[in-house]
Amino acid sequence: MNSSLKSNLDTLKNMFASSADFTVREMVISAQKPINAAIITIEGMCSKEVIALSIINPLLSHSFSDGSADEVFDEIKQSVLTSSEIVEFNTFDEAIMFSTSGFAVLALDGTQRMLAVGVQGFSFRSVSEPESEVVQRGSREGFTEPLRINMTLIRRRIKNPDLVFETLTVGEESQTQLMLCYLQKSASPEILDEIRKRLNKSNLKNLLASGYLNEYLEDKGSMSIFSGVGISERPDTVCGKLAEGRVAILVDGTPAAIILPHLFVEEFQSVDDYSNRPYYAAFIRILKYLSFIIAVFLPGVYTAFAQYHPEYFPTGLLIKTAESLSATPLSVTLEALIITFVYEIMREAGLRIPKPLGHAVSIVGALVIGESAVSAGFISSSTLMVIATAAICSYVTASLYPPITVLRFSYIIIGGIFGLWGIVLATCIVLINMCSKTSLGVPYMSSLAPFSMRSMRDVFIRASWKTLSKRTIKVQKFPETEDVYADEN
Amino acid sequence: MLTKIKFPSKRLMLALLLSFCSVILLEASYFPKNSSFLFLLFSVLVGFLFAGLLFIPSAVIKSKTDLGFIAYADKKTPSAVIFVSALYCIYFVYTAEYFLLKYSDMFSKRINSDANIYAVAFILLACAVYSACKGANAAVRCSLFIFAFSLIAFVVIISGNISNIEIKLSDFNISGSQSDFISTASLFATPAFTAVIFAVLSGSIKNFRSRHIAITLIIGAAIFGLYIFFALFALGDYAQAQEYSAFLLSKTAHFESVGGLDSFFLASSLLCVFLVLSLSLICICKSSGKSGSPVFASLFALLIFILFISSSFFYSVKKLLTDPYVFNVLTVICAAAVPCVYIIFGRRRLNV
Repeated sequence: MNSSLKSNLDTLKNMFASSADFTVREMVISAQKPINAAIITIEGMCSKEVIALSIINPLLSHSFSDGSADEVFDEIKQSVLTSSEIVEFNTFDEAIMFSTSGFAVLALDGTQRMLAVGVQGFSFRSVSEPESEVVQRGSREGFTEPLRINMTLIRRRIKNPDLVFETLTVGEESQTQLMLCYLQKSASPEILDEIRKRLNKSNLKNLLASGYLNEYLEDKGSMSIFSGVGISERPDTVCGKLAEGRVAILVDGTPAAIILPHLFVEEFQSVDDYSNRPYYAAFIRILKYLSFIIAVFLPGVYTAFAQYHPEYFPTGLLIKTAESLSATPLSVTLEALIITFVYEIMREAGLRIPKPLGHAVSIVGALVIGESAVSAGFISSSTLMVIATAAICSYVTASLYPPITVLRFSYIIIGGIFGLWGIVLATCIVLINMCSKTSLGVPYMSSLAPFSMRSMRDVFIRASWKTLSKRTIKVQKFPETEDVYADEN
Repeated sequence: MLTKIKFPSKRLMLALLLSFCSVILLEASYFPKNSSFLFLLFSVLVGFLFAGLLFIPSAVIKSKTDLGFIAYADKKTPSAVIFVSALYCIYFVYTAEYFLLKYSDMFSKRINSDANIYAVAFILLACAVYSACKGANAAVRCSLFIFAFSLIAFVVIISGNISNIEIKLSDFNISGSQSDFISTASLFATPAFTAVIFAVLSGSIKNFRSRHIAITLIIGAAIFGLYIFFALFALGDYAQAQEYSAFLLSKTAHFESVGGLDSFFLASSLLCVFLVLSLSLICICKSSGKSGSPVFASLFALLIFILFISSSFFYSVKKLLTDPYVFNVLTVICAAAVPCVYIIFGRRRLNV
């Protein structure tokens, strides 16, 4: 930066390519020798009222003492501006960073320094209940898009200086701010270093959502349809995870936090488990595991049984199924594939179309696809029922929906071609894949394989709070985790 | 990352226990039909004693040096280790072939006689290659799930099938010819191949205690004993006239009343064979210092597949590859003879 205001403004205007939202409010400060000044803002990012009240009014009404532009600059910084957030800087990169973050940049003629004044006032969605993680009991607050508000939501729950927010910037062009969030005494320094290393290595040009980072945060050689990166829209869930030594990453503009390391058993845990009585929480957990198994295996096993092993059906069911299947023109495998495929199309359509039209899709789906297809003899009612049951079960663990869908399709095809034998063998492959997967060095299947008796208190059952609160099991203490970092060192 | 870290010895022992089970699941039909219970039990004890002895050399090496046998051999005789590696690779190719042939035999007789056994073998090997690429740790972790499933399957079969136990006193006489005894004992000695797997993979385990081997062998022998007990004395409602009566742990069962139990049995046997094939390929990669290499594992899987095809054209090849005597002799060489030579001639250096 140089000391000429005009030159600085020209440079900034060029950098912003005279963008329509790049706003400059020029003024003259009445010192003994009048000084030209300018307030640079980005339209829509700042509150005009706050700019007027905390910058323009004090500047124009203050009577400055005599002195050079630098002395006036110091006086403005120390005793004129009323904003609580003032940062001094002297590079164009910082000027761009502050102005695009909602700060007003104050520049004076005759000095190489500038001031960033916190006057953020952009409109954003208010804190509301997250739609993908609904709970019966517990907080109704969910993350929202601005980073600072999400930080506040976490800080309000952990009033402890041990909670650290660390700023990082990712995205060569978007310059998106991230916040690494952890409890200093709980998080493993090795895991933190590894996360920082991976984030710094990411070569993203634009980071527009936290999902972009998932691939960079996954362990090398851990290719799998299951994700080793957890996501939560709930600040209370994030706080619980932080207490277990995990690290959260908040991305500016994304109403969800990334949680690392992430394990398979966590997919079956929810905030409600910890609010309900232990016996009921255990019942729900087991229900979730069973639902997952049904969602993945039921259509494939049904296809295999109907096509190759009909003797496995109980006699009554066998007669009903045989009657139903014999009246349809397609093979059971093709039937199951078509129904699943159509169901996925309807689901995707239901998600994307405007809400008022959603009901129309439901009606078309239920009446045309369901009733009409069965009554026309195009598909059998037993296959439809099996696919529908599996579809409902897949929503019990909503975060596992993508792998469940892929596995369900695969099992239908495998069951249709190879029967039960193929399903057993495919399960071996899936298990090997899951057992070899790690999330930042922590085995993805921890608690189950490697088996850990002490962490079983929060896997299939949820032990009472009296037991759970005696000792928190830190994620880095899971078996075979420390070995990984020891080996790397 | 995962291939380098050590895993608890108990987990390897669990995988070896499941490998024992594959022997009884695949070979139950080869039991002498008219042998008494005590005769078979005695054969099991002799077989497992034999297996126990074969574990000793590699257990000594592990205890003294914390190394697996191949690493130990490499340390002692770096120039000759290539021959040791080659020997172990041949042995594991034989092991994989032995179990693949036994499984395909069972598959074509029991599950689907019209199925293309080449396709079955190819798919099974392809899956084992994937497992071998993921390393020993992933395979032994997976064995926890296989164990859980097998345990449930066993309980379901017993509780869903057995209606009565009929014990005949005559079955407690030790009767049988010497040749019968040798053939039965050699059949029950085949679990000793796990000693060679242990020799190769012991370098990757931690917290090893010799008693782990003893406990595993005792549990293995108990499972075999239990299996024989049910196969001889249990009366079931299931699988009468089934070709493999031992599948269902019962002699006089018939099909209609309880449906689908044999699927548990077939799934368990497939899981155990998959584990054995995976461990064999993992050991091949480990013996040759190419752990986790997909190309290397695929090449050996291809070799096993070619041998499999040739065995179906040449009966003598099949006979040689499924002969328990040959298998046991090779096991003795790999599990005891070669390691003993290294221990005896390398003692001076070992003490240093």
